[in-house]
Formats: sequence, C-alpha cells, structure tokens
Amino acid sequence: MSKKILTIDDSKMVRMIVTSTFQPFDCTIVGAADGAEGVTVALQEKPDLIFLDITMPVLNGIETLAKIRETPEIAAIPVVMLTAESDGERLGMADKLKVSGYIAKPFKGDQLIALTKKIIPLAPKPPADPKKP
Amino acid sequence: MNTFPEITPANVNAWLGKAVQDVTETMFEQAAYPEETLVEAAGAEETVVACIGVRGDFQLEVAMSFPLRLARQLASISLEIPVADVDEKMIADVAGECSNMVVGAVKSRISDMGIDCVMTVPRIVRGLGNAPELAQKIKASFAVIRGSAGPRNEAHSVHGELLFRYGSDLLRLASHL
Repeated sequence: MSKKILTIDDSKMVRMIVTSTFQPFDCTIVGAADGAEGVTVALQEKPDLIFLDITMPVLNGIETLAKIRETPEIAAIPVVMLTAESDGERLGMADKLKVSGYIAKPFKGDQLIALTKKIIPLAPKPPADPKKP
Repeated sequence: MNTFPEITPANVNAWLGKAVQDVTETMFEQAAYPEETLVEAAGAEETVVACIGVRGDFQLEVAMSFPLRLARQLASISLEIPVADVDEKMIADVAGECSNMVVGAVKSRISDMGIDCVMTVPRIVRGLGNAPELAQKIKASFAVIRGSAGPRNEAHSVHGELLFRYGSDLLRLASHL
C-alpha cells in the first residue's frame, strides 16, 4: 500500500532531497515550509510519517511537534527530527514528545531510507501501467 | 564570558571548518578544502552572504559568503535542476541552509557542554563582494539578528576568517565570537 510522507522544512533544498530520495519507492511526498503550514498539511493529508526540522520561522520544530501531539487526528503519526541542531537538550525536548528518531544534517538519502524502513514499510514503486495515458 | 576551556576562537574556527567540509562533502558531491592564501579576484564579484547567529550564553555570528556562480552551482546540484533554471529564491535557500548546517554543528557541540544557546534563522544579503554596500547589508543583518541584545562588545570579541576552495571558487566564512 502506498505511503505518504510529509517533510516540514523551511529549506526547499531539503524538501527536494527528501522527495528525490523516496522516488524509487511507492510513496507520495508532501511538503510544508514552516511548522504552522506543516500542522495544516498533516491534518489534510494524514501522512504515515513526518520529517521535521527544528530551526524554522513561524513555528519551530519543537513547537510544531507539541502541536502535532496535542491534535488528536494527527497525534499518533511517527515523527523523525531532521535537523542541524542535534544537541542533547533539543533532542531531549523532542524525546519527551515521543519522536521516532533523529537524523542530523548534513545527511545522505540512505540514512532517510534506513530509518524510514524501521518505522513504516516501504515497497518499490510499481511499474507504470502501459494502458494508462 | 564562558568558563569552558575548549571554547577558544581557534577551536570554534576548527569546528566551523570541519562543518564546512562535512556539509559540502555530504550535500554537494565534493568537499570544500581549506585555502591558505586569499587570491583576490581581479574585479568585484557578485556575492551571496548568509548571516546567521547563535544567541544566549554563547554568542557567535557567522557570515558565509558564496560567489554567485558557486551558489548557483550548489543549488543546481542539490535541487537536481540545470544551472540555467536556478532562480533567486533557490540561491538564497541553499546559502541559508548551508549556513544553518555549518553553524548548527557548532551550536550542537556547545549546547552539549550544557551551555544554553539558540540558533537564529539565516538572513541572506547579496551584492558586489568588495563593495562597502555589501558590508553595510551584512552589518544591518547582524543588527537584526542581535535584536534587543544590542551591539557586541568589540573589546571582548574575536573575529576570524576561513577560506575554502570548492572547484574553481572560493567560499569565505567570517566569524565573530
């Protein structure tokens, strides 16, 4: 079954890297450029997994995570912190809000895939249907 | 003033330098290498500068300067699009994210010593590399980053500059500790 992943990051570069990393897999990537937009998109899309940055305008990653956890419709979605701030204090704050993992920036696509596979099943993208236009 | 013997200008510069190499190697296919001597461009070069700060009990300001050509190239690599399709927003985005990753690595190390500090969102300015107008824009950006904290006490702070070669371009990183 196709999976949906939400990447919340103010950097288009990071959102693009996440998108291209999961290109070979049967999943859809949706993006949001800040925490407030991320919560809205999460409510609309109900993703299977969220990659979340910490240093962002409007609503930072920790505030966004708190908002996700207090919103019943999306509270149970697994969240992976993808952040340049990988110190114990920040990660400890995220831990209290039940994150499923961390990836420190800079990162390689392989790290995203390896951690994602531990959280949700990933299947290869099915071959394109030749009958479809 | 901090009381941590590890936090010296030389160490902070070394951590910044390692972070620049890690970020370029991991995100942009090849690492930038330290350049010992500055070879000044013959003329003024269009430059993109990401200004970012760490505030709190540890204070650091970093201006990471990319020649426009290099910023375009890095955006093209990371966004997987032709150089000709790279626009202004993409250039600003890549410069800002690079500075975020580089300074984030140092900030994380400092926070792990138990020092309370936060990193700011990067501010991007652009202009001719050797023009006073660009220096003014950088100064203005750091004034915003400092906010109500006011100007740094120059008598108790240290400036540093690191240079890196990435292909045929030079990447500069000016720090104010």
